[in-house]
Amino acid sequence: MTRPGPRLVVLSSVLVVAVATLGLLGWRAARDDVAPGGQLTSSGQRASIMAEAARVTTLAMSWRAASSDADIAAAKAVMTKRMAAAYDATLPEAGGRAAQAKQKVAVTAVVAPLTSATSQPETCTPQLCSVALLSASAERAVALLFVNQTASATGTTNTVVSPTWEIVTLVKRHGDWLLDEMVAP
Amino acid sequence: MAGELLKRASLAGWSRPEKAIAAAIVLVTAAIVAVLVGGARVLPWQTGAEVRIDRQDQVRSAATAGVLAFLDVDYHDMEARMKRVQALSTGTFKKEYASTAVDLKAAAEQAQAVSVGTVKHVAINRLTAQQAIVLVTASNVVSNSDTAATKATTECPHAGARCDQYRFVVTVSRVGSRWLLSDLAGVS
Repeated sequence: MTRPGPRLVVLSSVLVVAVATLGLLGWRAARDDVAPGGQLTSSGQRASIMAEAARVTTLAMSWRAASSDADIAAAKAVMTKRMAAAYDATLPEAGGRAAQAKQKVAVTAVVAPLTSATSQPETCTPQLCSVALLSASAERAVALLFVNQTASATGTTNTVVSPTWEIVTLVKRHGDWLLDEMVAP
Repeated sequence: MAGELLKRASLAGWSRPEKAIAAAIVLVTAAIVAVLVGGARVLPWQTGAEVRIDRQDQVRSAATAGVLAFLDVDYHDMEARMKRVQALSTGTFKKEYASTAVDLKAAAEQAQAVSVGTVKHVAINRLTAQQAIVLVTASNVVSNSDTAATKATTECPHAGARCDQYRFVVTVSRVGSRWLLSDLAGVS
């Protein structure tokens, strides 16, 4: 029996390494939670984005005249510059805020419970609140939320409840999800 | 010199097994490059992520079809519309809908109701292999005996009709190879 030549040994070794590399790459690609096109499919990642969408949306849509500076700062902290500029345009005139503070004007936004059997939770998760994803990649997500906004003030007997929905776009900046756009019907 | 290079490149002097292994190396290397560039898309099987994306598409289609059928009312021909809702639904929702069918038909005919819905957004809250919870927003144009005198407005440019907006939480369940509506609840 003749021994294989050195070229055959080298070629065989290269083939083994190449096949192993292909197998490893294929296995990793098959296990990846990111679909072709970049969409996230892991339920954990998606749930975490939805919870964040609920948190930043309620922050952006809630406002108490008595603590307007702090509330505005908290809302802007979760927004991109583009969204913060759009948010500024929706705020009451600074001159009128003192009068609103005396009247204790407050706008509170909550994400509606997912079922009628669920009471309004303190912290929204997708298991409890009406939040869902239209799309989600590692850097950008678009969520749909059913939001109930309540406006109240002293001297008024009725609070005004406005059910609506919001389409919010979140973008990842330095590891945090920030609100980049909000669109209402 | 050039002749020598050509001779080497043509693998002259290589044994048949050596040539076969060299060809296999070229093929495997091409496959590696394809996987590196194309990712899971080029694999000859469907990955878990691709299966979940397909499932999302199926669930969106089922929820859209179910809600549109539910909002589709025409007192001239309720039977066909109610059959369509039942064909697209399952479980508790199907039973409850069937139990109200007679009343629904009578009410639509009495009010001379016509309603056409449009689904605006379909977003997925939760998805497993067997069930999904989906948020759906829809608008609906309804005309009936009460809306005949209604004038068109900017918000609702349909004279003689009323425009409604709906927020639905829809549950879709897998039955065999199909996804069917198993619950539909309006969110107030």
